[in-house]
Amino acid sequence: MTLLEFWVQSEAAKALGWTLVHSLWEGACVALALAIVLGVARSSRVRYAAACAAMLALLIGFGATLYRLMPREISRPPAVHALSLPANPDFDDRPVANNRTPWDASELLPWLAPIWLAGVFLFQLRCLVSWAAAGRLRKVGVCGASFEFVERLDDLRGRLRISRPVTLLESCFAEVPVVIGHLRPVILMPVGLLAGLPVAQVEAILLHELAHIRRADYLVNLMQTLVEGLLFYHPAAWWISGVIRAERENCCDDLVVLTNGGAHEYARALAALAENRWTMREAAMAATGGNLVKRIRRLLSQPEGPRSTIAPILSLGILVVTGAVALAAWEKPAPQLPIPAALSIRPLPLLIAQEQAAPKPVSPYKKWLTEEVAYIITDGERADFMKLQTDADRDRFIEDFWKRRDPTPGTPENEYKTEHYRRIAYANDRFATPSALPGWKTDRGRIYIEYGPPDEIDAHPNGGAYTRPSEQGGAQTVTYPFEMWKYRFIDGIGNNVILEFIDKGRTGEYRLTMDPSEKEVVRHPLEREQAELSEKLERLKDALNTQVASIPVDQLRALDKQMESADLQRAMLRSQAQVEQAQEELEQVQENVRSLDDKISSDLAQSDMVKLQSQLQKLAQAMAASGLVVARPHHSVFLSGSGSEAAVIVLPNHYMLVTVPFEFPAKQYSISVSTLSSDGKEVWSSSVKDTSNNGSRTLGAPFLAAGSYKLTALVKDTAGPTEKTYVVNFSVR
Amino acid sequence: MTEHPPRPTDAELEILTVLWSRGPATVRDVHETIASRRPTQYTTVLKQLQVMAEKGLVLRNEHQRAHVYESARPREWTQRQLAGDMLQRAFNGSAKSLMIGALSSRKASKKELAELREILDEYERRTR
Repeated sequence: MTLLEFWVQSEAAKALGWTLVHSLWEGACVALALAIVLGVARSSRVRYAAACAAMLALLIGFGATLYRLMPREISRPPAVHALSLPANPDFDDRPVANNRTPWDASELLPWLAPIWLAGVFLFQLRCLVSWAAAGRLRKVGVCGASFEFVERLDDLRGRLRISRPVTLLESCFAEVPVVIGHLRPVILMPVGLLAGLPVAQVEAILLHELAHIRRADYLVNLMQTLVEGLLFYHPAAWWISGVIRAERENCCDDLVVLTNGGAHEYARALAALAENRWTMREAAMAATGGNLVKRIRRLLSQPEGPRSTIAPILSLGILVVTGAVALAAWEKPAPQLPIPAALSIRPLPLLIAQEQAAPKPVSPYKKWLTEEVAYIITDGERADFMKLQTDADRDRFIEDFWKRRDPTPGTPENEYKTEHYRRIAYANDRFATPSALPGWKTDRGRIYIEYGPPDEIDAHPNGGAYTRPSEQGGAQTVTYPFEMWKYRFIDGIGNNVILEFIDKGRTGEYRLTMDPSEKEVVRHPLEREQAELSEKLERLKDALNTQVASIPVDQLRALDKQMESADLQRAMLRSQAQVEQAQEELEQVQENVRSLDDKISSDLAQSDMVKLQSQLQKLAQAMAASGLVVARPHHSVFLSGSGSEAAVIVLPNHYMLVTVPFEFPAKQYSISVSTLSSDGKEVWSSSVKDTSNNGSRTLGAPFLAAGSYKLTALVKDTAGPTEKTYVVNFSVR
Repeated sequence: MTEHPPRPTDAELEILTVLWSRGPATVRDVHETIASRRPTQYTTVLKQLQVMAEKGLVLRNEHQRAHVYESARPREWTQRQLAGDMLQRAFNGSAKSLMIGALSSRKASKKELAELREILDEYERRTR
């Protein structure tokens, strides 16, 4: 007798075996109860709590059963093992103890115990590996998120009242935003996602992750995984676990919408995340089920599809089957173990998915009309075809349809028809999008099918730098992926037709556009926006000048005395508001510059950036020259000395960009800066050496309280005697 | 470049992540970012970037006085290269069961994505 056999014959092993059998019907009861609760409760919090309670009940039931069945003395001599039953008062009166056949369930049952233990070992090992791997993801291939987002996260953290510090990292391994850790939680964002999504959407996603942290979901999930490993053989455990996972996300969704409002923006963010995932990795891994679709429907509170009633029914089935089997095994031992019977019902989501995926049959005639010839059939023909009653008529109609278009009616071959189907096949082959839109439905497919292959194709599948033709203003610009198709002649349209398709979402779905500037990433490259803003500034200055000039001198003097008096003040407030508005637009430009910076890495784009920076600088000087200098902490502001000698830009992340004019003679220089408040106190000073970075340098600046300040920058040539002092007065409101 | 750069080490991966996240950057920028998370020497980062440039992992732009480095390969390419390593993939994949986030670890199918877009579009139509 081997050690294993010896152990298997022990009372403990037998008790464990029976516990496993009993937990099957216990679990089914719990699952059924949960299914009933889920059928009634609508609130995700209630549903989540119910599912957690069910999981706990499952675990407690298992423990309690084991405790009751376990003999008080664990190790008994093997000689008496065979026929004795668990010392349980509940089961003592059953008439089984004495007359068992040698080949019965109680002989087999104990073998469940080692199998179960091996399973538990494997699952807990997996859990341990997961834990280590998650810890490693926090450290490898990550970098800190930019200050701007960390600050935003802190702000949101305050709104959710989370006291623990939360770290925001960008990870090159994370495919989607995730939370790792409980005591020192870390949010991992896929690299580039922060910069790639609109701010409102980033905020919504950060809120969702913070909601997980606030609800201690990581900890609960860890426990849940442990319990799953213990009850791995139990379909009910996996089902309940799935319910917990789904409701957890719903709870977080609710919290996000409650805190932030915009359900729609949030839904868009989730969809963008899911799409982003496709572009990231190879398009393998088929998936089924509709988790995310359900969530988004729920967010937008659209009517859901028919609710699945399979879960409760299945649960009832398990209950009946396992209950019957367990009873039968107890009363009159069956030669079969109950477990396989229960396991065979398990893959529930798969069944539902198959049911949903069954395609509806489409009539070949409908397909012919709405797909195959949709682009070439005339309205009259369509109407005629719709009127036909029998399939024979329709067949005849289709035959005539092609015959009318045959360029060589005598021959058996119909070149038109052959070419048409070739075009459809080509379109489906080449233009199908990753979002499963068939090629013939896309804009490119439609044009290809209608007009055939173009004479020339100018494809820019990656977008990027592009020189505009001179009639569109020339110059370099940056574009989305786009294609230009040129047809020398299209019947009914004209000669030299150029069609442009743009892939704005970078999803592979090119759309036809009429506006050649639409392909440009920054709508009409920044110069134009720049020009518009400068123009606005000019107008503003003019308006101010005429306002001042229109006031007679004596009146001006009178007004001077009562500066608070209404009219002038209101006028000033108005113009200040206008300046602020212009400023906001400038911020927008800066935002564009930054997103441009992220998207483009080519040398070309860099030279664009340099050009743009100098333009921005000029604009800043122009604004300051208008005499109205407004500054707020945290926000962009443009300042300049009275002699326009230096421009200082305070960026939103509190860094100050000190720009040294290009005419400064030395190549290497040091800058020291000090800022004095109006009462002459020094509030901030800083210095940098060996500056050679294209005439500009970032210096960390503190928050400045409201007031007026004087910034003095001393720039010294590190190699020679040249030095120059720049003085800038500015105020912070 | 026809020859593939070698697989980056963990330390190199950290620097690459910074470059992917920030775009082309100077040694100073990279150092500042890494130093905000753990203490590190400027010269260590500089040396590392020089080694990486030799290996072909990063490109160095010497047009400006302060050299600007950028990743030689896009993130997706390197991720695929790393994912080719079965052990690494199994390890990172196993973390999924413990991570929680806005999306499940299961990828949405193309059909679902199309459906999502439809739902969103319809919502916009209705609210307009």
